Amino acid sequence: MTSAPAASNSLPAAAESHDLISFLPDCVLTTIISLLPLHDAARTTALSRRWRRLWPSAPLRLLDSPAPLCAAAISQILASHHGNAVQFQLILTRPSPADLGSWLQSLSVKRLQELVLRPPSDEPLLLPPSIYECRSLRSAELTNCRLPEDAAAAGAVSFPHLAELSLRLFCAPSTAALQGLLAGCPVLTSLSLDRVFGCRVLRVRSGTLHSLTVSVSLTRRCFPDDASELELLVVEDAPALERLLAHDINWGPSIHVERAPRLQMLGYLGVGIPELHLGSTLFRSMSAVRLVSQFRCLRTLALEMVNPQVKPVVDFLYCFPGLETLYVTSHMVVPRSMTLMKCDNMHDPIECLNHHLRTVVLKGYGGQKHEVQLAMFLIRNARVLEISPTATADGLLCSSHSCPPHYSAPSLFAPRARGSPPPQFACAAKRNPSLSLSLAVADLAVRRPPSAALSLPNIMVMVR
Amino acid sequence: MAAPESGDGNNGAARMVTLISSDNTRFEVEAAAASLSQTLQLTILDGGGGGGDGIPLPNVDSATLSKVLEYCIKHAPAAANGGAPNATAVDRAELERFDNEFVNIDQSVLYSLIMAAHNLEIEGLQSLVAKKVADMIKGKSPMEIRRTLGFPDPTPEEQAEMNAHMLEYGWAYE
Repeated sequence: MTSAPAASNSLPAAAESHDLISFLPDCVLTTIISLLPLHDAARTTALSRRWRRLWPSAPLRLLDSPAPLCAAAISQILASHHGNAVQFQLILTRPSPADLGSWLQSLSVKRLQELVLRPPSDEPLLLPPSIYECRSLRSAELTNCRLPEDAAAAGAVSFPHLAELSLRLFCAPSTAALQGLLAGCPVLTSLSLDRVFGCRVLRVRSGTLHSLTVSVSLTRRCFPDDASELELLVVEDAPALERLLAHDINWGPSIHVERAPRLQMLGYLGVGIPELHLGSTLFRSMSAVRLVSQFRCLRTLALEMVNPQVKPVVDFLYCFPGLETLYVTSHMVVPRSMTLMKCDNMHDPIECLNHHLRTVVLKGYGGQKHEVQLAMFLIRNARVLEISPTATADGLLCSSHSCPPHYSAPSLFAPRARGSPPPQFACAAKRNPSLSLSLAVADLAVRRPPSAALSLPNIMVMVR
Repeated sequence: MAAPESGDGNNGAARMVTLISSDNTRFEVEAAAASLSQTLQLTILDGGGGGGDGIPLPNVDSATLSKVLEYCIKHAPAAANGGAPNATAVDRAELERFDNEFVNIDQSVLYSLIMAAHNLEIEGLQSLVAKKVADMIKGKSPMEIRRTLGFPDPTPEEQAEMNAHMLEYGWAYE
């Protein structure tokens, strides 16, 4: 026999007063307060003497949006609060260096876990040295910020719990400073580099990193002080890295992957990447210079091409023998000067075509000649491609206005607005006469977990 | 559902346990549902609560316990699925509808539930009732909150303190 719970749930009968809530213990009231938005939570301190001390001991989530906060209010909250700081977020407020310095100092004492600094205006905000005192941080987004000169380069940085780091429009005083920052994050699992300045070559070595994302400005430009943008990203040694994602790569950086034995997802790779080293394989502007079949773990590949053609796609397929899912995005602009690259002399058998490639997504498919050729090639040669009659699943939207649920295979890949299908597609139609077309909204970046993408066997064509 | 005064509860299918409220009402319920309570889970894992024994809950009255068990029975299948990652949207919507209706109750019942959920450590129910109270507070002035929660009218001294406090935390009232 076990007799359970200590305190009673039977509240004293509402004899004189009706404020039964006052009979609840502090810890329960604190939980309730921690569910309130900041302003509402602060107002509870006016309720009574007892309530006055509740909010200051509740876990603090100090966010300056959606309701804006003035600097004085932030200082007041940090001075009066003695609970742990869960979250600190500045999006609407641009603090003075002195204010931010003392806030971060105070937050470090409160063992801040999650930091978001995204100050408005064009000028990057110089981070105070007290940022390095926030050693309890688990995740940090630093947008439009500039790293202070000293500590990072000196190797004094230590964020022993930081798992997620996102640097956007971020300026480092030197390559050494940025390298020092990363070196000080021993448990980092996710790193996002979105327009990073002041470091031309970044070398990544991390035993814990799972996901690495990189993107650059639309056009090549310099931040203040001629700090140039990232030009080369070297993944020297990342034994746990599973996803290497590039977004908006228009003119760089070059990407060298030296050792990433568990890499499963790679993309978008496009002509904006001047040099792509994948182990011993080398592509220059997406043209193969040297091809070696490696990276057996890679399951998902996304390519971004102007007028996708068979040859360069096949080169990539050759490199990744275990590939299961291929995304190809067509650019809108098709330069007339491009010549058709035929793929008659296919070097060696392409393992992923024969054994693994089950899903192909052609995004922005416009029915151009080369696109049709690519689609035809994949249907003919990808032997385990599963063309399933339905492709509706969570995360995929079927657009009913564009397409009836059952579309025949021939019209699927034919140029749009043209009547008769090319006769070559008879084979695909025979293989599965009830092939249906899904207009899928698929974004490599938002597909989580990666296995979700892998489990959708299909060709998906996204018509632009 | 809760079946008062039931005897031996093991008829092959699911394991049953008996819970006894403070006013000595016996509730027979599937062990899986009762195990939503972290407090009870340990006892049940030890093999308690079966047969004629029953687990006494001297701090939970029968009205509250019946309400608590209503929640547990509804949520047990989803919880057994490990937070139900593969639950359908329909299932989730149904649970949400149930939850919304479940907390649409008198304040005294709500606070009894809060205490029971707290003592029995039923995580989902704790969040549900806490959120309900938070929603009652949200977007209101201190006087409105006092009225909503049934505080007595403030004495002049309390009123003065409130006013001073509101001045001090002016930003919270913008």
